[in-house]
Amino acid sequence: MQSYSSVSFSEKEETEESKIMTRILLVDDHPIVREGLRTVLQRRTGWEVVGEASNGVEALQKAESLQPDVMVLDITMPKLNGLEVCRLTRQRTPGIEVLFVTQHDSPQMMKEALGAGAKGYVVKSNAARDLLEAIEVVSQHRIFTALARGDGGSSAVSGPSKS
Amino acid sequence: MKTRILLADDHEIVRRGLCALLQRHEGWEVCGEAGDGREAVEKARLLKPDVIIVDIGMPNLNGLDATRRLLQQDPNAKVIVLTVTDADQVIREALDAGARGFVLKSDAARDLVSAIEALQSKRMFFTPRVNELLLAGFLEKGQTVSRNQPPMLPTLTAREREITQLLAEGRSSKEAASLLNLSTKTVETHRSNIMRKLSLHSIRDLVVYAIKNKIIQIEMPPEGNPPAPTPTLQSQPQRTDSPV
Repeated sequence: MQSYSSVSFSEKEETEESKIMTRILLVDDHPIVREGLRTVLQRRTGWEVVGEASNGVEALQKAESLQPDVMVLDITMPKLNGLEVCRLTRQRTPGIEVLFVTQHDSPQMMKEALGAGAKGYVVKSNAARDLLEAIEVVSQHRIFTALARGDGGSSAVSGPSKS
Repeated sequence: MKTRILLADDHEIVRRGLCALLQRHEGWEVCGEAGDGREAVEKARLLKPDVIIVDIGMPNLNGLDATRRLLQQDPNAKVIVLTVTDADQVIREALDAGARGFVLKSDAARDLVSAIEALQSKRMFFTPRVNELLLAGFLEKGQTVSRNQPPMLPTLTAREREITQLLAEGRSSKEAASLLNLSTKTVETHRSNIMRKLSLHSIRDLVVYAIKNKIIQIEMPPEGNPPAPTPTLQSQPQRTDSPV
């Protein structure tokens, strides 16, 4: 007797919910900044802001519970600063990539951030311009960095992950 | 008629967040945005907004000096100062400059709406923490709020403060002159006067002075965080994305 394999659904019947989405956790102690980040990210379909945190301790808790693809992270925060959050997140949940969005327009701070395990570093003054590309690159496990130069320009650098 | 609001903050991300917050309110409209204090003054002149929200830490012309200019331009201007710091000195300067509202950025999502509503009703608004500081100042017997701090900016004129900021931000006298529509010689004269009045001997001294007196602001790195070992980066500066 011939056996039939069951057909679940065709590719054409793929639903909106089953499409792969980049899930993003926003971490910044200023609600207004988080609102601004969310407004910029909403321009991109296929991305979802799954949660927000206002300090470093909350960031770790939400990273563990929500398991985002990308954590957008400030450096200067109460309770636990962003560099420590990054180190701990990368140790505990290495599947989560970290993109720093910070006021520190400093090559030294950027090196520390990358040394802590981040894949991305963007300066807040240019975040509205660089954020979308940064998340795109970092979600693919590649490095994206963009500092603002003194003349108001920026140099964006992206490349393969070192891992 | 809608309440027309001008936003002045050098971070577009913050302006996006403020826009999203304010535009939820029917009857309010963000009529313009500015990325620095100079642009804020110019746009206020052109757009004549009902309320102006001004970040303190902006380049070219900081928020406090922009507030002074806005009130000179229009004494009825309603200015809300938005700031990351609630230092006594900053509060006093904001009030002295003529701001009618003072809101901490960390509390903006909660307080900014109330602040605008207060100013619309011809009242002033201060974030609760500022109210506490002001009250503490009043309760101290015959003392100012910041008694332990040295006297404020003794004798600098508004123009001298502007030039102090531009020089402390790293601009040359020529660049400052171009921004201010002055001759380089005039800026140099102001610079000499500033250095003499404040007993400063170098640009480094000027920068330190500007930071201490909140003419420019800097972001401090997180405390207690030893530098991580610097990794050897495999990615070299490239202009296009590399394939994974």
